[in-house]
Amino acid sequence: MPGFARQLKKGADLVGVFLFLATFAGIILQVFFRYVLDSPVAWSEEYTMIAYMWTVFWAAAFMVKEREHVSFDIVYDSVPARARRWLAVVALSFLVVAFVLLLAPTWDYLEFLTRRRTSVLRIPRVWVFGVFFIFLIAFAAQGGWRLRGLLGRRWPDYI
Amino acid sequence: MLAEYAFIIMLAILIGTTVAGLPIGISMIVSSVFYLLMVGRDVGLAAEQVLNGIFDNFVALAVPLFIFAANLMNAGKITDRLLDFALAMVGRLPGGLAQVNIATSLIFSGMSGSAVSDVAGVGKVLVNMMTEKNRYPAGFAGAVTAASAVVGPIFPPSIPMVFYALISSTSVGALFLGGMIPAIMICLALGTMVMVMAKIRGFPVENAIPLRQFPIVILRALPPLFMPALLLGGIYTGAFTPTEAAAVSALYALLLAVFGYRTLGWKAFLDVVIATARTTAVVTIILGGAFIFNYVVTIERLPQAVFELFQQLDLSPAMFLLLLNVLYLLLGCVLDVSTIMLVVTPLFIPAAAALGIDLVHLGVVLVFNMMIGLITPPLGILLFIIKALNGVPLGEMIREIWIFVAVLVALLLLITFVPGLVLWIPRMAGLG
Repeated sequence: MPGFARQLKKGADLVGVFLFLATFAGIILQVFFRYVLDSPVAWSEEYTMIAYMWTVFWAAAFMVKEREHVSFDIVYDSVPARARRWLAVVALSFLVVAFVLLLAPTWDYLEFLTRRRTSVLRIPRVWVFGVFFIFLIAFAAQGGWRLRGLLGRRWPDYI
Repeated sequence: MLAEYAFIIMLAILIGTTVAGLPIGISMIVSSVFYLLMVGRDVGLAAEQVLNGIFDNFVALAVPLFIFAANLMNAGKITDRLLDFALAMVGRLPGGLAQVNIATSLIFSGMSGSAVSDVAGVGKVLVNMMTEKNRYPAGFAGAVTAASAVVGPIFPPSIPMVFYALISSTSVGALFLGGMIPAIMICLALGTMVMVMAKIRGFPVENAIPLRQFPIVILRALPPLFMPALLLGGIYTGAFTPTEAAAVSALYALLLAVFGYRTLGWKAFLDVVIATARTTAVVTIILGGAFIFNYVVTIERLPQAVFELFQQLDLSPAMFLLLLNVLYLLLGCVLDVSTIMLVVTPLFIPAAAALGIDLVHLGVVLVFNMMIGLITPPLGILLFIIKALNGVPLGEMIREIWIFVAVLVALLLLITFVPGLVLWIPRMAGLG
């Protein structure tokens, strides 16, 4: 990986670390307020779930490669490289088309959510769910990148 | 016309893209998008279902936190500290190290909710110990490790049980407590079996640890042993929700590794958090995909159809459970546990409820069942992990594993037909 890309990846990982620890801290604080300070708080659960949403879709967008997700790879792993190439081309085409089709309706849904607020913290829901839009773009882009590679002359690098 | 066949086409896309290697959670989202297009509904529903499904289920967060706790314990080598304790307790039995392997699996399962983290952590250490100087055949060492790791998600905490609770609206606490007796039975059965095999095959016995050393050994094991006590006690008494219990045990493991044993440095901690964040994304994406997929399945009234089918078949509850067990044993051999739990299980919940089957009992039976799939050749994932970590040849493990699989299936049938074994403890806790 070129130096710049590696720095980016490192930065993405650190954001992921921060988000996960923010989630973790939320629950610890919830327990702390209830048992140690004896004054339960209402905001902790909602705050924690917001941090969790960001952790999940941030990590899915920038920290996990498509091939590292849980997949049913019995067939994929047992066919020769050439067949694998075409399987991946079909799968990724469906992925890219579906995610691109999902972009505009998701944007509409998020726009609708700018007027909705979460029940305790009164945060516009678009800030809670907006990370999903980032995930859609990043994941579709990665899929598209791999698809382009698979259709090119150096396809074995993209299997 | 398109709308009529939309569901069939969707299933074809789901199966096709999955077989072609697309991640399962992603395939569920992708195929649902095409379904919504074909029936002319708002495609944005996919985003709405995925997002609200995750956001509204606080209990789902217990899953990454249990993974975090197990990762911390493995990285901090906390579980290794239990080895001396297990050695002192069961090392002198026939097949000593194999008994130690089973005992540590049970203790570790009280801290982790997954079979994979058992194999990857203390299992790896034990296979090494057993195969050192050829004291045990490598295949046998691998087989015992895999077979005893299945208690991971049966004894609480348990990741698949959290998923089951989500889709069946049962109590996580009740499911957790329901797994305790079956898990202990598994360990006793495996232990007895190993004893017999050790006599026949002449496996070595470990040197007995002198009685006066016992207090020290036990004292040293207390800090890690406190963790399952904290977790189970917290859930049993209702002091913690499962999500809180998961976070508190992760914090405890963190403090123990960083300040207690000083086995976890800054760099290693960072790696653990990165690995956990990635796993969090992977499992939650499957969960999110299942929300939109199950939404479509409900529109198509599939659970209703399965329910009516079973009504026509007019099965007794016992036959229903038997049939389900056979189906899940087969599914467990090819599909990932979370996927079966989140996608297949909701189809059978209404039928099971109508037959008067206790849903907590059903959950424990299904989790137990799917764990057998993890060790069943040729695709049992635990065997592959042991091969990758310890270099045990697959063929040797497969030769040894069948008898363990057979014993586990026999136990599965026992807890299937004697629900009291599962339901006794949850009922005592007032949860059943």
